[in-house]
Amino acid sequence: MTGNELFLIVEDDRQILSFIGFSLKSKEYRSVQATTGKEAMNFLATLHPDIMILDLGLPDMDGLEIIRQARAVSDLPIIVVSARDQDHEKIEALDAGADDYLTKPFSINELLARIRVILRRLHKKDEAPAQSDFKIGELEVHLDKHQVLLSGKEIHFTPMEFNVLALLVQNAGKVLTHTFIIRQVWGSYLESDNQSLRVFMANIRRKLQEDPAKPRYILTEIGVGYRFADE
Amino acid sequence: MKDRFDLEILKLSAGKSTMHSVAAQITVSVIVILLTTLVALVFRFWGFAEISIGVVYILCVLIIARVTRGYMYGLAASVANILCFNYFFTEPYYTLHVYNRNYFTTFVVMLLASVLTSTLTSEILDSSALASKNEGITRMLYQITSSLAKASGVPEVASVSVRCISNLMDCDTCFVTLGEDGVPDWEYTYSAAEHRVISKPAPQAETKEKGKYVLPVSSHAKRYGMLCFPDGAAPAGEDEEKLLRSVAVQICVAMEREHLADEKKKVEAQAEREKLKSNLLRSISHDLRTPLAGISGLAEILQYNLEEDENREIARAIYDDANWLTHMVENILSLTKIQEGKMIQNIQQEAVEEIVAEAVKRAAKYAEKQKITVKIPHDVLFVPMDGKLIIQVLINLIDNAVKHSAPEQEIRVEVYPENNKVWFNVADHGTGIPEDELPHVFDLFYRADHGQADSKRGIGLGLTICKSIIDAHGGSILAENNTEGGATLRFWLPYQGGMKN
Repeated sequence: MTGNELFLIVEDDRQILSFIGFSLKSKEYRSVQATTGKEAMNFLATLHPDIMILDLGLPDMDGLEIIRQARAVSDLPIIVVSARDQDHEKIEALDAGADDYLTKPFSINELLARIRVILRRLHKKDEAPAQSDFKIGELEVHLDKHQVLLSGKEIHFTPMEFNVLALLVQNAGKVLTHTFIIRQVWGSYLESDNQSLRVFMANIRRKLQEDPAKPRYILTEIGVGYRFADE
Repeated sequence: MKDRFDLEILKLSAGKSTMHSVAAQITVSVIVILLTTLVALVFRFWGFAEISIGVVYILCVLIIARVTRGYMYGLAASVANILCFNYFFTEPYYTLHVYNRNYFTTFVVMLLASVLTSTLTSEILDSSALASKNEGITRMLYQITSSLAKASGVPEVASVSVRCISNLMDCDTCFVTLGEDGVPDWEYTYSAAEHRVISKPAPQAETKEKGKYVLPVSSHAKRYGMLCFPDGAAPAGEDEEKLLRSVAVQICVAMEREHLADEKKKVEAQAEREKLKSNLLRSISHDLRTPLAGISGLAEILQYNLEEDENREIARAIYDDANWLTHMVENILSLTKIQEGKMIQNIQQEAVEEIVAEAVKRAAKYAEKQKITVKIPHDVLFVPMDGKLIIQVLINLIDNAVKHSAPEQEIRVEVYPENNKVWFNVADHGTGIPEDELPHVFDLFYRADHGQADSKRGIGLGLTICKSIIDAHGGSILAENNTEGGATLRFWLPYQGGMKN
């Protein structure tokens, strides 16, 4: 199905709908458009789209509810588009199963970049389900050997730092919430772990020689979590 | 209100109403003795034994002790009865002489029996009177408490209070409530003539007239008001004062309850307002952002799709303006948050490098030609702040630097700790700020009017917002010219050492 994915755009604002529609069309993606939650649920059941772009503020249904219902039957990637910039809503959407989010206003390039990341992940999943070697730019991460190489040189990582990095690398391109990372790495979640996580992140960044003005690998989603660069 | 709280008239004097005057008691005693003597004479006429007559006299003492108050009457009656018995019923009759010495024994026994009887009776009467008085007080307090419990709102509590106290003391009392600052605010006066409570604003000065009895209604934490009594009215005796004080405590409890209820209502109203405000802000931000996102998005598509350069330029202008408007909306929303909320709610420990990186990433969109460099300390700095707002500040400062910089010039963002402060500097290599304008850079609607006129827009809101945000964080923002040219806008935030690696 590569290159022939069907997008479902759920958005009640006509302008944004046509903007996203045009953007997709310019890259020759196929799409169907829904303006209400009911319509969206209907399309989900009948057309089986491959990717959903979803506005959280719909007139008839809460976007979060659509994510939950969609997740109950399908694991299609969901990109949330919302004017809500409140962190907890983003986190709720991500924790409910959304893969990524964009806050209005956003540019075509931003949207297309996110879509490319998702498509790449979708295709990778089809080809090689369990990957253990990753190469992003100058960085190489070998999960089985617990090894991190930067420009061919090995860098020492503590086991905890490595676990955090491995989690990020395995989910490259996807936004991981603070809670998610802490639960995965520490096993349980405590509010106080938030600060420790950031210290780990800062240390990992130092080791990856990140430019603070232009992080190359670890991108911060302020108030939400982290995302590992995908390309 | 009048009907609901029409209390049974309670009076302290209620227990005293059976009290007889001395003359009446003596009269009653004499009559009882005369009647007894008459009955005894009839008994003797019928030939009853002397012993029966003696018993009749003891009964007489019992009756007198019952109907009179105090030991004296009983004792006097006992002596009087012995004399009567001696006079009428011992030989020789109608004299106080006695032939038979045995009679003396009889007299003594009779006297003892009488005295004992009368004393016991008096004691029982006294304790029963005390019990009924206590019961009355308890009932009164109960009634006052339950009326106060039914009252809701300070005015009702005050009205019920003066009504109770006025009835209790049988005078028109007045209750002055005190406001938050301890100054009298309302005065509730009971009028027995009109059978209602009159309320009016209290005179501002505390009118504590000399000689008038005033009962404060206060807990250890707060003064709620005072009960003022008219001239000459004051509690009689310790018991009455004690009773009044317990009533005052009940009133205090009721006032305290109303006060807490008021506080709760205020807090709820405040929360409701906050909720309304944030809903309004949310809908504004949604309503403005969505069409702006549409405009900028569609203009962007036009830019890519249009063939002619001129038209592409138009689309680009639309796109730029829509972006600028979006930036303004963000700024105005931040300003509303600060000015209306007064306090910053979302203070959290944020890692400075993450905040700076986010700000630089977002500001870089407006700085296509300038180079932004960042210098942050090696240690992770955690500074308490509202991350979103500080990002907004940094974006505005970088944006300002971009406007005052020529293409290819460097914009330097630097963060470093110094004592209990963390400094954030944004330096440019532009034209700098004229010395006389330095103090006005952060004034509302002030805008430096030099340099290329077409590359700058805005009404000077950006920097004003920065100042509001930094002030709200307890920090400070200032503008300086660099010795080597260009200007530095810098601010600091309070910092307590934070977590170090």
